[in-house]
Amino acid sequence: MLAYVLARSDRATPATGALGAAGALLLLVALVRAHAAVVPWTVGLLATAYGISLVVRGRHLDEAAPLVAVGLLLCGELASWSIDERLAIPAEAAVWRARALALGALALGSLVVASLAVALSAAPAGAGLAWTVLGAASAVAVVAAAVLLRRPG
Amino acid sequence: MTRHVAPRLPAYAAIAAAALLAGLALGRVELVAIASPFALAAVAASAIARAPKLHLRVDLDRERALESETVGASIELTADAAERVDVFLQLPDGIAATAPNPRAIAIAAGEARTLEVPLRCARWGAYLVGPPLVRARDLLGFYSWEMRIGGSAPLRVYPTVEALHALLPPLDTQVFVGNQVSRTKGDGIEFSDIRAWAPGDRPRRINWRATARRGELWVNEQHPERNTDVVLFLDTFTDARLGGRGTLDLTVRAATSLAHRYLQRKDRVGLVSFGGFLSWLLPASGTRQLYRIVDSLLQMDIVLSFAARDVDVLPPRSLPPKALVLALTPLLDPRTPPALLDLRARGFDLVVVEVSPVPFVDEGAGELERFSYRLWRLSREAMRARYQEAGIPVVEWLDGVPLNVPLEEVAAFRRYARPARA
Repeated sequence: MLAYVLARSDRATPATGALGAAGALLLLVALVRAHAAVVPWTVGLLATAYGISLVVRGRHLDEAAPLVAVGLLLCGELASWSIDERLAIPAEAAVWRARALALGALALGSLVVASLAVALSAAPAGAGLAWTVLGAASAVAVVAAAVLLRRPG
Repeated sequence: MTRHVAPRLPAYAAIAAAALLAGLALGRVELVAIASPFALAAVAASAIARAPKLHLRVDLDRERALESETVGASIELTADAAERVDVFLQLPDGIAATAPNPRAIAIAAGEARTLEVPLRCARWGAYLVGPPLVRARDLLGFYSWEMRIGGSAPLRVYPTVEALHALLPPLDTQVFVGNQVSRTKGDGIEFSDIRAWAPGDRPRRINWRATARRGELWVNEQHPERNTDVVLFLDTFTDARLGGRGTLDLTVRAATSLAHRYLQRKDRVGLVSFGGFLSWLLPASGTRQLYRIVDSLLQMDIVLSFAARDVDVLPPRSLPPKALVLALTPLLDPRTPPALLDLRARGFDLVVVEVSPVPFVDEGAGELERFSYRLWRLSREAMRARYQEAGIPVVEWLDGVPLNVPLEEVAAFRRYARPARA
């Protein structure tokens, strides 16, 4: 993921490289010290590095964005799974299988949704207030979901 | 039931929100694509998460076991559906699982699963096995629910009984029939002496050989077989422990072995736990008394107390006259020696088996520590000498040495140094 970001950002290499390296280092720390709470920060840093590279490159559409998105998700999920397994609890094969299948399904679904988003943007649907409102509503919905998830209980 | 949310779930939602907002602000659909997997994960996890309905029961294949035996515990688990359930059977100190504990399993809806956990009984005691700690998780580990369900199962682990070749005979016997040959003369089997015939003597007791030689009637005398009263006097004020073993363990094992053997001989055995928590069992005989004693020993523990104690607090019936009082003590607490000397002064046939705390004490590395250790050993020698001056047989019993050895030492002491009678 970091290599991909570095390969496609010519002018912003110092910024993306520093952020990506920080993310990778953080991931290493999270895995070595088994700090599950650090893993999302890693993902956030890598996503930020990718975002900067996008902005620096200009208006060119990156068709590989869905793969980057799924890669980031898998990075976070696999790191979390690895940390979960540090608790020496022998698990049945069915438990492993179920999680692997669920992760695969989530990755596939994510790939479909992300690809759909990129494909729809490329379609000549035009612009306008409706699209802007829809986008804003989606963002608000996600923030609301985050707030709801934060509730104790 | 406590619900936990993995820290990455709100973080994913935050990443998705930030990426969406950035995408909107910068007009970049790639950022929306970046947001979508995280948004999907957050929404899907919250949508499918539901607290599982778990039912759990813990059973043991038996309620009683001996030390070092293995008892099978089974955990029966039913749930509506749970993708991953971590089950951890809480075990008290002294009980260890020989199979993996905890374990993670998957349960289908309506399915009943049984987990077998063999338990090794490492130390005697009365235990409660369980209740199990259960943690159910969703498929991706975003949500988890922790609960303690299923209750607990009682388990009594009895100390192993050591084979004793010989027991200490008390100086005096009681009036009931038993297996101990009394020193007195009366009806019995064991030949004692002959004497001149007296009116009332049975003809079958006439010793014809002596009668023929002396020209008058002489009769045989026998020693009667009687039972004895034995009181096991346990000092439970303090315990010296090191590496999972201690003086209290040795005391309880010795008391169990002695009670078992004396009761087998039809003697009456009583128990006095002399410590922070005072308890006693009046002398009685039979298998029920053995169970009473062992159950009482299982409850035995060190209770810290600074209250002054002497033998006056004991009910008189707990220490019957002519009873052999076998004291098992590490001789660590200053309240024990005066109590034992008091018992001796009251005329009890007292034997002190010193359950030596020496193997459980670290000598120390420094010169001062080693000096203190030597002083402590000397003070113990002095205490032993004081007992011997009072006519009390006192023997040191070290961990790893069979109990027969100190008992033989006491028997030898009593052969050559019989206590003066009051």
